[in-house]
Amino acid sequence: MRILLETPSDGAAVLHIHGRLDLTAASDVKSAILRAVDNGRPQVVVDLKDVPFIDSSGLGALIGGLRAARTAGGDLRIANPGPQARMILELTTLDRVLVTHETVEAALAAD
Amino acid sequence: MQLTSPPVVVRRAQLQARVDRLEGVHGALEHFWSNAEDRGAQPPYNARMQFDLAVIEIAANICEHAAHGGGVTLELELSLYGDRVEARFDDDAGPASLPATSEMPSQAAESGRGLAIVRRIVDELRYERVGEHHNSWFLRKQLQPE
Repeated sequence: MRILLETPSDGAAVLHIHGRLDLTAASDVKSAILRAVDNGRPQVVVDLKDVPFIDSSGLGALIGGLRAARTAGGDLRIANPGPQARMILELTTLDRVLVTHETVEAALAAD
Repeated sequence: MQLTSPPVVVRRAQLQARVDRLEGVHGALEHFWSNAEDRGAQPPYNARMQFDLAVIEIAANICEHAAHGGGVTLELELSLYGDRVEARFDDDAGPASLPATSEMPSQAAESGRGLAIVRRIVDELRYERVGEHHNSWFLRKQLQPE
């Protein structure tokens, strides 16, 4: 799993994740989100375009990141979820709090 | 009552797994579905995705019960029938337990969803402690209405 950080504007961070977001990757992803928030970028977008699989640990990392972003006055949004990501978000009803967008640009622009 | 027709595909794998190393389980699933396609089986994509998730969640749960955070030896058997797909696990991790319901923890919780997800996905989930050193897990997901 690799994480690429993009900083498109002040206060915003886009994390492009490549690989499975599972138990192996969860702590690294959560750390990367927390680091972005601590560095003054609480508007976080997690790009799932290259994530073929998420499990409950991966969801936990996103929830932890969401909490940190909101505490800092921002938000965490999901971009480019594939069918597997959509399935687990719906199954756990976390699609109500982890809002998804079709593109990174749409996630950044959302109110 | 299950049908007695033989499985379309069976894959057995003996794996060394650790909580941060589930590649062997992912690999076994990929080979299993690839063999199924080679034999012309076309299970619904959504059911396949859900079954994969359930198997990985059980494997992760098993590894979490490994002694001292170490590895486990895991025997995994995946079987595809005309109307269902099944997974059997035999492992040497410590004893586990099943939650009573499929209720999800609160939306703010960062953990505790694994077995609730499995319960929502599968039609049957069984767990048994076998002797002093082994666990046996069984999952069944129907591909067509029972």
